Amino acid sequence: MKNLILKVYDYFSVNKNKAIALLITIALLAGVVIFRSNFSEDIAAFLPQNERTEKYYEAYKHLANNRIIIFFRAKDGGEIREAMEFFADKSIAEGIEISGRGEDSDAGIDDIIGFIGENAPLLMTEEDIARADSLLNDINYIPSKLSEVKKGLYSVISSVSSNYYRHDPLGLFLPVVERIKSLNPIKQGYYEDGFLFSDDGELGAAFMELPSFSTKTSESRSLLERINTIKNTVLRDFPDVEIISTGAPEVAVANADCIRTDALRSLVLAILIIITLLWLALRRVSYVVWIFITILFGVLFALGIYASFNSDTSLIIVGMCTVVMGLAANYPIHLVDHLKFKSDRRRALSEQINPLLVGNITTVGAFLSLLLLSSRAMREFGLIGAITLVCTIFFVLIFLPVFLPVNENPLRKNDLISFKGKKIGSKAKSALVLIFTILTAFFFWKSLDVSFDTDISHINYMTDEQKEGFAAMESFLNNGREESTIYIVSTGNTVEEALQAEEGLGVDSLGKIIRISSLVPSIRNQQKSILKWQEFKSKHQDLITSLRNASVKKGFKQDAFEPFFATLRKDFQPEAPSFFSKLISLVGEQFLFVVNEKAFILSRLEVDGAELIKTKDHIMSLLPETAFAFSEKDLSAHLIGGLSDDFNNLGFICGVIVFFFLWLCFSRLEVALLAFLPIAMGWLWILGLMSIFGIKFNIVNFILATFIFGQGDDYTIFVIEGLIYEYATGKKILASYKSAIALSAIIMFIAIGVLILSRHPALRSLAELTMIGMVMVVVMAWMVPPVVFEALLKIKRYYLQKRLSKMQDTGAKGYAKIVRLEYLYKGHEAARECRKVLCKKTFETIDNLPPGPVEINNAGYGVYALLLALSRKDISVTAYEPDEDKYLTASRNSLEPDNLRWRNSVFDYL
Amino acid sequence: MKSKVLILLFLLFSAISMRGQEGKINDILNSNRPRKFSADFIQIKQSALLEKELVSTGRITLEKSGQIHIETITPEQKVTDYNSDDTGKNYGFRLPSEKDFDITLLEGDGYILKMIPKRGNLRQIISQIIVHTDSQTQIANKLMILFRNGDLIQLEFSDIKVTI
Repeated sequence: MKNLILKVYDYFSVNKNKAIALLITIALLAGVVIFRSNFSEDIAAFLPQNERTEKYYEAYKHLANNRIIIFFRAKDGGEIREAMEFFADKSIAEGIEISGRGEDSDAGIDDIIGFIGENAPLLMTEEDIARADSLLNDINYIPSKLSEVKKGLYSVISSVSSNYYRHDPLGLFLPVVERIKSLNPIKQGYYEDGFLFSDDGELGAAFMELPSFSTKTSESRSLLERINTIKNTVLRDFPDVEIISTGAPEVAVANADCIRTDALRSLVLAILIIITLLWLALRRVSYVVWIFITILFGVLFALGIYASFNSDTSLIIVGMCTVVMGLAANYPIHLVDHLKFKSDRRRALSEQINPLLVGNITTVGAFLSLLLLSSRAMREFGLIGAITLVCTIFFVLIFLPVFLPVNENPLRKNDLISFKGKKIGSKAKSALVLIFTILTAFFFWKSLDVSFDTDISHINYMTDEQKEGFAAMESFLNNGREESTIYIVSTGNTVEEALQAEEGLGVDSLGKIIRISSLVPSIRNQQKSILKWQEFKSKHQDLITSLRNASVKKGFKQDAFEPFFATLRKDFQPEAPSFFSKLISLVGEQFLFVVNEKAFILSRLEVDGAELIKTKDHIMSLLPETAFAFSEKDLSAHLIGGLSDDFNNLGFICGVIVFFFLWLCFSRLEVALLAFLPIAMGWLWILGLMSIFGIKFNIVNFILATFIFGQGDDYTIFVIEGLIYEYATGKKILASYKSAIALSAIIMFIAIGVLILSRHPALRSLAELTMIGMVMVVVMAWMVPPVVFEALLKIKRYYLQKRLSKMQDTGAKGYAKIVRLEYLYKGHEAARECRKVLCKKTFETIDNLPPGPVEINNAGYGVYALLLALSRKDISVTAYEPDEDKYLTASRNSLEPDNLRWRNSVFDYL
Repeated sequence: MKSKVLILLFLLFSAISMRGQEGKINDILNSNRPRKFSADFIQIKQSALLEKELVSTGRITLEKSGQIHIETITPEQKVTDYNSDDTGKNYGFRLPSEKDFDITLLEGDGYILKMIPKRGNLRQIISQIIVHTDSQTQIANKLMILFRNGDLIQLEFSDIKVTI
């Protein structure tokens, strides 16, 4: 791969125009594909996709997400009603519907009473009919009930109930009415003309339903802007009234606005700081410009590739892609920073290819591990992240070296970040190792406390006004009581199936249950009720006559109860759910809905707040597969519960994949372990510190886990490559690598760290984790590999000495083991040369050589020369190698046989 | 707490959005904002369900604080107390307050107010209320409530005691 990249570099460096043409073509193609793509904005994509979460998501959508509540409060005990009327009139004139205020919403109490009276037998349960039967079995019941009714008519307000008496003079249908009354969720205050008022009338609320559930904040924003204009008009005309508004669409828009403002401010600040920092570090404007061009190309190319395979591109994906830029910036920085010290671009590229490629492969691997998650958005993020990194590395290795200006005056040391310091003594080093080990163990222990915060509200931004609004709504719903609501959702392929499932829940004894089947019984239950009603009628055939006679005796008109008689005469047939729409509208249609040919029915169970979790768990154990339950508090937990499971798997999968790639790239298990150790330790330290600072993972910052893993392994790989290079050649390169790492980490730290200034909790959580994470991965990458690498070298030297001391004259094959050990930890290419040279054919050739001097040209890393000199003391070997790094690697061997001389070039010899 | 005009049982009138006649109507309303009002009453109710009228008598006491005390004497003795602050909490409705009616002044023996409910909940039940006032004191002494279902209630007050 390295040779191929260098060949491409050689070609493009003499054919720059072709490189420019290719670059422009790619950019144009990507631009066209992106331009033709549809951009969507659907948060649902973030949620794990499986049947379970889809069900929760549908329930979530229909419960609360499309309602805006406008609260009106009187200042100093003033009047709010008129302001509310004014607001409602203005809104309706603007085409904004206020719930319960439209022309259709004047369905009066008489209509509802009439509907119930005319259809009560369909709504009655077997118990209700049995109760009616039992009442009528008492021969005194009819006259005594009629007396009671007549007495009640003296009251002024009896004119309301007299309408009901016409339909149910004997109170046979009262259980139906009671069940319907219990569906009212409001515990405090009263409804009037579509408005909800507190008992003292000083707080009122108007409700607006968005046309349909929408995840598009742009639609909500436009509506809210219109509502705000109306609010301002009302406030101007009614200065004694305060207006606050809240609701999920408001919160969504506030979140989007807050994120936009925070992100924009942070972006500007971050870009300014980063440009300054890069300029200070690199000292050339062109370098800074090329770093930005590289990142832009990576993102453009990646989005182009993504869009060419996906007709819809989520804007969230675009956002994610830009976040990956922070990680992708790593690559051009390493190359450019390295070039600062080199006048030869080809050499700089050659030295950087391996660490860049290995780092890229492992990070891409980490991103690809996201493909195993169940959330579509996370999978797409993994894919787009991997593509962005591949595209960026492609630009960095193919185009960037061609276009970067040559550095005529290479630096000897970094101007901005220098790492020369006193060498630490062995005692101090041992103490440091001990402290690190203890701290790691401590952080491991603390890390066990870190959890995934499944409550989305914790990363929601709400204005004080919105919080106040939610608190006001809570007071209407709960009236200060410690009651909590458990929602039970019954599902079915048809509404009938779902209704039957709902009717069979069997949780009535656990609390006060409010069920839609009180309003819309299933066909099956209606059939049962009709049969029972017919039995009831057969048993009480003379009911009409006896009631009429008794009522006339009591002074009632002949036709006073004609509606009731009509119900008694009617032949009932089961009715479809739409027949009961008048009743459904009383509680809201969110309690019964059909999505994708699947019917959902919500029931509410009110339980003691202290018993919520226990009761819910108990209910869950009782429910059939077609039903599920959740409380308001843990709905989001159910929705993203899959993500939390994903998260637990993510660390493991990410770790395995990164380790696998490290092993593949370094070819040796102990080096892969060496590279992985700082990543694993860094991760434990991050988790431990998160636990100490009380930071939890959430749906947003959990993405950073991949970043930190990716960034951490890049840094570690660079440090290990630097250590290997320094060990092999003796040339000091680690400081350059460390400065690039520091620069890259500082940039990432600033790019995301500035979000700590955000008001939005989700963005702040990103910043907190980034700050801890970046510090940790840098500390680990700097501190751990040198110590462990030194230990590995000590072990290597020990085994080398041991082998040498036991060495007998066993010919080339015997010495091959020593040579292989000598070249250990001297880089991939030296290792490859060992594998290539140390074979049977070489051993035979060496063993059969006649004594005398031997000269070897292009000796490479000197594997052959060293083996020859060691195994044939009777041969004097002179090895020539023009490449400086190979020469240094070969000549710096620890064995130094007397019969071997190294020459950097034939000219040196001459 | 907004002021309430304490005149009748549940259906009270008070300040209004006036169309002309504002001055006089205001005078009448102000006369009916006592701290305490008590009177004997005769209630005659024509119910759409009954052949004959229902007649009841008793004494009613209304206080500005929102307390309503009703002692029914005939056809049977009964005492009922209401507190306007509790109506929403206990009964899911409120006592009518300011601006619940459109009020017009009619000519007659003394002043007569015709009150038409403006708001949905009341409008669904009551079609209008006619209030007769004493020509000298301007205190309400008789009222008729016409319900949408055809019921009619007539209330006459006597032995009216008012604490200003």
